[in-house]
This record gives sequence, C-alpha cells and structure tokens, in this order.
Amino acid sequence: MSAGRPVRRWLTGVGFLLPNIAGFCAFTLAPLVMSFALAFSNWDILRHNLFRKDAIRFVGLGNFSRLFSDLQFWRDLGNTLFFLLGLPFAIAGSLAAALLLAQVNRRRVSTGSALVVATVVLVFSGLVLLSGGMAQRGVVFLFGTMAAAVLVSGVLTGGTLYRTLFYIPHFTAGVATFVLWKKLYNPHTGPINAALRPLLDGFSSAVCAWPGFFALGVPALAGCAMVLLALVQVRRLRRRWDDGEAGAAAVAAGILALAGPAMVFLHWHGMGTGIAGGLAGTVGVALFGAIVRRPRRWGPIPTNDAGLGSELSLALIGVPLLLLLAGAIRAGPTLPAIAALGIDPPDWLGDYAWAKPALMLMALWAAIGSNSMILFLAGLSNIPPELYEAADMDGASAGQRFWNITWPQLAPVTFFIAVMGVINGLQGGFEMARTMTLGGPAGSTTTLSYFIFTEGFEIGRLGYASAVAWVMFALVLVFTLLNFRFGNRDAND
Amino acid sequence: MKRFFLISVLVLTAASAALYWTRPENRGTATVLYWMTQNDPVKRETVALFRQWLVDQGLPPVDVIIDHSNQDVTKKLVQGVSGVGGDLIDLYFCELETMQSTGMLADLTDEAPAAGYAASTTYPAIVSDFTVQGRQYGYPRNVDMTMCWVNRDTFARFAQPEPPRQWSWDEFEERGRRFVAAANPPGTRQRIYYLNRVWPPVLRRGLGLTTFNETGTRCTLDDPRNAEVFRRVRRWTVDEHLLPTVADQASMLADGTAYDSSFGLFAAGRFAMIYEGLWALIRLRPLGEFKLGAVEPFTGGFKNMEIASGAVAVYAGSKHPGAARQFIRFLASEPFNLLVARSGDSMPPLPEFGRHEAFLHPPGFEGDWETKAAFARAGTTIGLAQSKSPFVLPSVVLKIDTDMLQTVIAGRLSPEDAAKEEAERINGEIALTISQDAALRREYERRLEVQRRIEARRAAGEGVPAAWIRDPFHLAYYRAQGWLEKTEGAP
Amino acid sequence: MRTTESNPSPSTARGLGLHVLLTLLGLAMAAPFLWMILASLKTAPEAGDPAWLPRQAQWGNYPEVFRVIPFLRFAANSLVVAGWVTLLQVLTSALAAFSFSRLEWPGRDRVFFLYLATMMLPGIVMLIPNYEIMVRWGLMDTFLGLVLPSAFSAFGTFLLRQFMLGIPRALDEAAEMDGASKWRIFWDVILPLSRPGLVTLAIFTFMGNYHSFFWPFVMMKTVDNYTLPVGLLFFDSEHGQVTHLLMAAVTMSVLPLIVIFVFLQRQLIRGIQIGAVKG
Repeated sequence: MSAGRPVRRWLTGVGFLLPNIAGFCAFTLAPLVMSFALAFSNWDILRHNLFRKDAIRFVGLGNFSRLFSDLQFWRDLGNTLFFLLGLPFAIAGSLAAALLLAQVNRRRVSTGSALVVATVVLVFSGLVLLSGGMAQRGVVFLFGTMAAAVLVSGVLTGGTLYRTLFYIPHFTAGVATFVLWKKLYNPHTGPINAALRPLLDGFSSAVCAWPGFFALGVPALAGCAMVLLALVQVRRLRRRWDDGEAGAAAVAAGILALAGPAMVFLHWHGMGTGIAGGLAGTVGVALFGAIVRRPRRWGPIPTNDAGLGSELSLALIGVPLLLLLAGAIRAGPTLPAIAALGIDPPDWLGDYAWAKPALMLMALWAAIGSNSMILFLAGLSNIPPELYEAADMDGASAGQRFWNITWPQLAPVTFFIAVMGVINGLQGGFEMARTMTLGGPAGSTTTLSYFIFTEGFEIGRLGYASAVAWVMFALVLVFTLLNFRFGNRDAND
Repeated sequence: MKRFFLISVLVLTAASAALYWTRPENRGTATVLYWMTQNDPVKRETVALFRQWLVDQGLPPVDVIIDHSNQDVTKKLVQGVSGVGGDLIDLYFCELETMQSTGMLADLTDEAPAAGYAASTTYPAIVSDFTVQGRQYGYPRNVDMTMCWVNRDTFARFAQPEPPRQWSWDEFEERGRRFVAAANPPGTRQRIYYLNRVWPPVLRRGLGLTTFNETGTRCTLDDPRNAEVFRRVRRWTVDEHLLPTVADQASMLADGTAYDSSFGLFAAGRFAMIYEGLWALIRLRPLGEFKLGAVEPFTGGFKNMEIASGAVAVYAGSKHPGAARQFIRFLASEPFNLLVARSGDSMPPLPEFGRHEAFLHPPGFEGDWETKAAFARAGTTIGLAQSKSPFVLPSVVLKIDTDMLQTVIAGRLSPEDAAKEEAERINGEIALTISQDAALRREYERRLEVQRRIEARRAAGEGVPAAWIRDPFHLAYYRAQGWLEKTEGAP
Repeated sequence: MRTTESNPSPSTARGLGLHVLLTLLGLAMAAPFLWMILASLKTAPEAGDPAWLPRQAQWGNYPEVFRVIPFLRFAANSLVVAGWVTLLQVLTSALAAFSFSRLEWPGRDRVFFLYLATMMLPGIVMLIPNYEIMVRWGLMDTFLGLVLPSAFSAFGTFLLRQFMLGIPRALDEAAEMDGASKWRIFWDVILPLSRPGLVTLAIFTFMGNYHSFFWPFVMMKTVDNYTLPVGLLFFDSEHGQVTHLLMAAVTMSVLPLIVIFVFLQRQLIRGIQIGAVKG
C-alpha cells in the first residue's frame, strides 16, 4: 500500500460525511460544548441579553451544589423516574400488539364467516338503538357499526386496517394528543368520567348489596392470590436456579420483588417500618438461602448475574401487581362505608394522586401503537420461519414457541426499544406538562425537562438550567450503560 | 431516485418561495405593529379605532396585528431578549418586573408628560403596574378589580339567600355550606360549587399579613396567619366542597380554558359565584341572559381587594418606535377610554371616564349597571395594589405560592410546614438575587436599615413615617390601625 | 409475516376470534380519535357535554376553522418545514451512513461512536445554546431557523448505517471491479437498494417534525410563519368555548399523516427489517 492511500481514503470518507458533520458540529457539537460551559456559569437571561450586558461569571460547581440542595430538583427527579415505570408496560403492550397483528396472516378467515359475525353485531346494536333513544344509545350503535365495518375490512385487507388503527395515536402525537386527552380527562365534561360514573355506581350498589363479601371476601381472595403468586415465584426461581438459567443475583432480585411489597404490606398494617422490614428481610434471606444452598442436580453453574435482566423486567410488572393486591386487602374492610356515600370518579389531572397515573395511561395509549410496534413487527418478520417449523415438529406449545424462539430472537429489537424508551422517557414530559397540567398539581407532574424549561425560559436562569440538563444527561448515560450491561447480555443469549 | 430527489427539491423551493412572497409584510405598504395581547372583540375594536384615531390626528396609517398566541410569558421573554419581540407588549399580572429587568422595555419616563401619558394621569394605586423604581415603562389599557360575581338566578333556583355586599370568611363558609347542601341533594353526584376560586393574598391581607415586610426585604409568610389561610382554603376545597380543587383550576389554566370553562359553568349555574375581574363582562355578555350581581371579596377581618391593571409597553427593539408610542398615546385618549367604558373591559385608565355615563350605563347592556357600580365603589374604598419586592420576581413568588397551596390541598404538607417552606423558598430567592446583583444589593442594605428603624419604632409603640413604608398593603393597614406618625396627614 | 402465509391454519374459529380481538383493540385505540371527530361536529355548548354524539352534525365547523385561523397557511408552513427537514436529513444521513458503513478510513469508528453518544443527549441540553446560535445568526422567526437544527441527525445516520450494513458487499465490490467511483457506487448501487430504509427514515422524520412544537413555538413570532401545532394554540381564548373548532382543526391536521401512512406502511415495515435485503 502506498503512503498516499490512507490519506485519500480518509478524504473520501470524510468527504461523504462532510454535509452531515458540518451540521452536526454546528447544531450538536458546538451547542454541547457551549452548554457544558454554561453549566458552570451564572448566566441569567434577565441580566445578559441583547439589551443588557451584565458580565457572565463562572461560578465553578456553584450550580451543582445549589442543585443538590434544591428540593424541587429531587422531587422532579423522582417524578421523572416514576414516569419511567410505565416503560415496561408500554413495551409489553407494543409487543402484544405486534404479535397479534403478525398472527393475522397466519390464520386465514373466510370472508363469509366475518360477514356473519358483522351482521350479528350490526343487528344487535340496531336493537339496542331501537330500545333506547338516539341520543342515549346512538353511540352503542355507532360502535357496533364501526366494529362490524372494521372486522369485515380487517379480514379483507389482511391486517392493514388494524395496523392503521393501532398506529392512530401516533398521528395525533404531540400537542394534539395532549389537548385531546385533556378534554377526555375533564372531570365534569369528559367522556372518561361519563363512562366511569355508571360503572362506579354499579360497583357501589354491589358493595352496598353484599357488604360482607366486599369487606371480608375481597381481602381474603387478594390474600390467597398474594400467597399463590409468592409460591409460584419461589418455585419458578428454584427451577431456573436448577436449570442454570438464573444466577445468585437474579434469585436475589426475584426474592426482593416478593419481599419489597410484603414489607410495604406489613407496614400498612400498622407495623413499624423497621419491624416490617426486618421481618420481610428475614423471610427473604431465608428463602434466598434455601434456593441457593440447594444442591444443584442438573444444568451448568450460572454466572452470578445470569438472567438478572429478565428477573428485573418481571419484577417491574410483578411488584405493582402485588402492591395492588396488598392495597385490596387493606381497602376491603373500608369499602362498604365508602360505597355508601357513592364513589366519585377521579379528578384525573387535578388530583395529586391521580395526575401521574393519568398521564402514564395516556402515554401508554400513545406508545402501544407507536414506532415500537412497527419495530417489533419488522423484527417478527425477520425471524426465520424454519425455527417455528422445527418447534412445531417437536410439538411445542404456543408459550414454549414464544419463550424459546420469539423472545430471544426479538431481544435486539427489545433492547433497542428499551434504550430509546429510557432516553426519551428521561428527557420527556415537557410538552405533556406544559399543555396539560403546568406541572401541577403541587408539582406532581413536573418532570426534569419541564423543570429545565421553567428555570431556563420562564425564570431565565440559563446557567442553572444547563447544569440540570447535564445532570439529566449523566442519568441517561447511567441508565443506558446499565441497559447495555444487563439487557445486552440477554440479547446475546 | 436522483430524479425523485431533484423533484422534491424543486417542489419545496417553489413552495417556500410562494410562502415567502405572500407574507403580510409584502402585501401592503403601511407600517405593521405586532401587539402581543389577547384576541377578543374589544381588542379588535381597539385596533380599528386606533386606525381611525390616527387618521383624525392626521398621522400616517399603521396596521396593528393582534398577536395573541404570543402572550405566553416564556415566548414574550425569549423572543423579546432575542430581538424579535412584538412591538407592543401587554404586561399581565407579575410580568412587568421580569420584562423590565431584561432591558427589553422602552423607558418612557422622559417623553410621557409631553405626550400626555404620564403616570399621574391614571389611578395612583396601579402606578406600580407599569413603573419600576420610578421609571415608567408603559401605560395601562384597563384597570381591573377582582370581586365575586354572583349569578342571582342560581341562588334563586335553590332558594338560597344571595351573599351580602360585605362579608367575612366565616359568613362565606356558613352560607356556602348551606348552599352546597341545598344544591347537591344527597344521592346525587352532580357537584355545584359555591365559588370557583379564592385568592390567598386577599385572605392574608384580611388577617393583616402580606407576602413581604414593609420594605420588601423579607418574605413574612412564615406566620400562623398564613397557615390559617392555607388551612381554610384546604377545608373549603377538600372537606366542604365549596370550591373545586385549585389544582384543577391550574391544570385548566395551562391552555387558557380555565377562564372559559369557569364562565361557562357560572352561566350554567354550576358555580354560584366566580371570583374574576370586571373584564369578565366581555365573556359573560355573550353567554346569555342571567341576573348578575357583584359582592366584595370576603376576608377574615381587614377589608381589602386587589386592584391590578393590564398595561401596554413598547418593545425596546421595535422597528417602529414612533408608531408604537403613538399607540401608547392613544391609550390615554378619549376615544379609547370611551371604548373601554362601553365595552365592559374593566375601568378606563383615565379616572374621569370611570364616572362617565358610557361606563355606568353602557347602551344595550343595562343589566350591567348594578355590578359596575359595585366595582367602582369597592375600587375607591378597599382597592389595594399588589405587594412586590424588587428583590424577587413576582412571577417566581406566584409560582411558589401556587405550588405551596396545592401541596397543602393535596395533603402533602401541613399548613404550618407549608407556610414555613414558602417563606424559606421566597427568602432564598431574595438571597440569590442580591448575591448576583451589586446594585440591588446596595438597595437591599438601605431598605434593611429602614426596616430596622420601622421595627424599632413599632416595638417602642411609636408611629412610623408613611414615607418609610414601600408596601401598599402595609401603608393602608398602618393607616387603618393608627400606626402611622401622627404628624403625617392622610393623603 | 408474509413468510408464513403459505401455510394457513385450518381453524377458522380461532382466526375469527383473533379478528374480533383485534377489532375490539383497534376500536379502543381509535376511540379517543373517534371522540375527537365527533366533538368536531358539535355545537359550542354541546362540546362541553360528555355525550359522544352531536344532536346534529355541524359540518359548518370545518369551514369555520378556515375563517378563524389561516389554517391552510399553517398547514403549508408545517408541510414545507417538515419536507425540507426530511429531505435534508435523508440526504445527509445517507451520505454519512455510506461513509460509516462502506468506506474504510482512519478514525471512522471513533467518530461513529461520538455520533452514537450524542443520540443519548437530551435534546434540551442543546436547546439553550441552539437558541443562542439562532439569535446570533439572525435566524429567529425564519424557516431556515426551523429547518437547520433538525436537518442533521445522528439517529438517521445510525438507522441508515445499520440498513446499509445489511446490503451484501458483493454488490458494490462488483461495481468497484467495473471501475465505478465511490460516488457512483453510492448513487447507483447503495442508494437504490436502501430505499426501504430511506422511506422509513423519511416517515419517522416527517412525522416527528410535522408535530414538533417547542422549537417553532419559541422561534416563530410572525403569525404567518406558524406551523400547525403552534397555530392550534390560537384557539385558546378566541371566543370562549372552542373545543369543537379545535377538534375540527386537529382532525384536519392529522389527515395528511394518515394518508402517508396508509400508502407507505408496507415500505415502512420493510425498511425497518434491518438487513432484510439478502443477496
């Protein structure tokens, strides 16, 4: 190779890159450097701008030390992380949607049978319409008609229509979505509460009719479910340990997922936090020891963190479920008294406790049919059909097919979606807060990005806002690296 | 593929060019001013009247474009400091100091007397809405007071007595409880509220407390009286359901629908009363026929009401500074004042038009009469300007206050802790400001000295000279309590 | 999903069940959207009513939108801005992706890693300096100021690089044997083969920018320069209750996207199948 070759190759390579890298430097790299410098300055837009030129001073780590003692910052960081809890649900939803859509072409349906079902739906909703007035039942008829039409055209188009329907939230993205949902959530005039009211009325009257069942039966059922879930989890962990699929860290995480809610449960039932923690911890450690000390009969010895990623993902879904059950046990006995007064639907965006879930619910709606679903669909169609054929020959069940073929094959896609989801989730929430809640009530929906926005553009402290932005970047980095550490391992399995 | 890219480029270029050449600047030759304000019928009428007024004065024509989607404070601020602000900027509640400190507002002090819009031509109580430290940065386009509007039809429907013109907060609570019980029979879910919102500063003043001390050097809200206000508002909201949650109101405010929906709910009888300014008439008139009344805000003792004005300022970076100043002159002219008087968009900036027939008996809206008289009377007896400190932006104070009240209502903090935290946060902001601005720090030291002397006099039971007191509330309260120096006659 | 079509399942009942399930889910996803369309046909007082159906469809709301705001102009602005961003982003990203995937040059992987790293940056970090740059360059209130910062994307480069890596090398090696220049290989071999990838990136970019709110919100002063999301804010405080007009405007603003998606969705999914072009 001649000496000139690398230089020429370099020139060609950079030549192609030039248009992009020029813009990249001007609008990404330069701002980045500037913003880093800003984070250590006291630039206040009120004091340094086109009209007023007070000197900008560099304050060293002043912004950061102020930040860490700023209660608002910690609260908003907490909110941001809380919103991130919706991510596993969004991914699961997208995956489920993609799986269903991918099934459509596998299961051919004759147009005739679809027509029959559609006619039945139509006739039924027509009857409903006749039984009530237009104003009251019209919407039932409307949905019936729509359902019939969608079903028939779904069968005819082989899934295209469903895909479009699922993707609809994506069209109304951004401000349009937020404005729309604000109207939907309106406690007085929104359709959500209008639909909830009769349901809650029905529920209250049911509670009033059988107070005994709800006061005692529901907690009993929830308690049984909790015990059952715990048993299933312990058995599952033991099996995975035996099979060498889960290492000690993964088992510990799995046990922790049980012990955490148990501790909260005990705490709710009047036990001091210390005692509750000690009790739950002791049982947890005992279980952990019982599993890990168990002589391994088969399977290879796993590395300590094998399977940790999937345990953690499972915990993200399992812990809220257990907490919900614990809540049911706690709330059951008080239900009849509450129901006697009538249960009001929540004041979604106006209530401290409900505002966050309301926004998460909306985000879930928007996320299920989003680009993640399209990515999953693409990923699914990339799986070689031979794998499924081989599985079919072994007589694998649907669940086995999913866990042994689909899930591992999709791992890179899932990983990509999770990483992008975390990145977007950590820096998101600004437009949502701005359009729907102004970050309220009592700051419960203020995310870090909205905090940056208000500090920087409402109050004008650009230096301080930049410092927050860099802390946010550090967080994104940590989360992404964690993802690479644990998520990627599963992805490469 | 190449062809596709080429066609895209051509199409986009053509479309961009078409958009460029059809901009309004390229359509006419008249000067165009952008006015950052709300777009309502009165503003549109104002613009038309301004054109006519220019013609009458023999001045060159100016087109004013109402830029109502730029009224967001962020946008005003960010665009203003970057050189592309609107030529005329409306200063709403708490915005003056923010805008002024950036230097983006033109200083009108020196030219005002000659042009006829000096600060002395309007109500003294609102001068602080467009002046900072003695310099004038704008002129009011209306003067507004916030009272409780009463939908008398709603009270009649539930056979409940209408509130008296003056009342205490205990009366409010007592009557409210009875009203809500009558309007929402047990077993129904429909909630009819007594009032849409309350304004904590007025309630605090009722107890003799305001946000700052006499000289604006310290936030005084770490006070049991502030906690009492928080506790009451929480009780009225959470326990008695006299008010919808403040949080709900705040969430509606995010896109400006709070006003709209509260007016709608008021007209529909869902809110028996709304706490809004006189300008609400503009919104209430189109909502149909119902009997209106207005009563003074209830307090826990000291009767008071907040007066505020909507001022218009001239952008320092305006390309048409002359034309923009003409508009300010127009605000102090007879035709404009008559328009405000007639339209119901609060009180006209020139006091003599507040006694004008066009204000008291606007043609076609005879139903307004009683309410307008109530506003005019309250304005002259118990109206007070907002409490401000030069060391912390009013917008920051408002944000913290809203946040703390919401926190109490959500049950996240006890009223006492919230009062303490509120004062801590505001005092922290004051400390931050004086640490960064040498000029303000000197002013702060001076005022601190005055504050010490005030406190020494009060402790010794002596009168305090009125000139020492910067806060409008403290001045009125001292006067009412007889704490002022006796030699100082009431002005 | 096409791969398994050859072997349709005989169980019609389960297939029908699947379709019913999908229909129900699809309706649930579309319900808010449906509510929006129905609300756009209500009268002003009805819009404050939780009932779904208007008593009588007010088709006049749609022309009313055009009367109240310069809707067509906002839409044209949005389309032109999003169009330019898309075009520039696809072109520059394709060039960069070619360089990263096909050319060997010293330092390439390090530069690529830098690109990747910036994908993790919260956009809000760059917001403040970018705004300052726009002020310095006098680009406030101009279309150029909207287009430029979004026209160069690390994400697009990453996406197209992954796609181009999936194109077999044998193809461009053959072209190189025939004496084609790198430039020719890019235009005549790689670019046509990357079409699904380009379409995917184009759709993502177009949709994202069509909806983008904050940047135009801060940048644009002149009403006639507003894009749709910013222009929709016009409806607050217009004449009181305007939910019905707002909903009509949102409905109309969404239409172009639905059309694009319906026509391009197959391309879109093909484009995402990274490395789908197998030799």
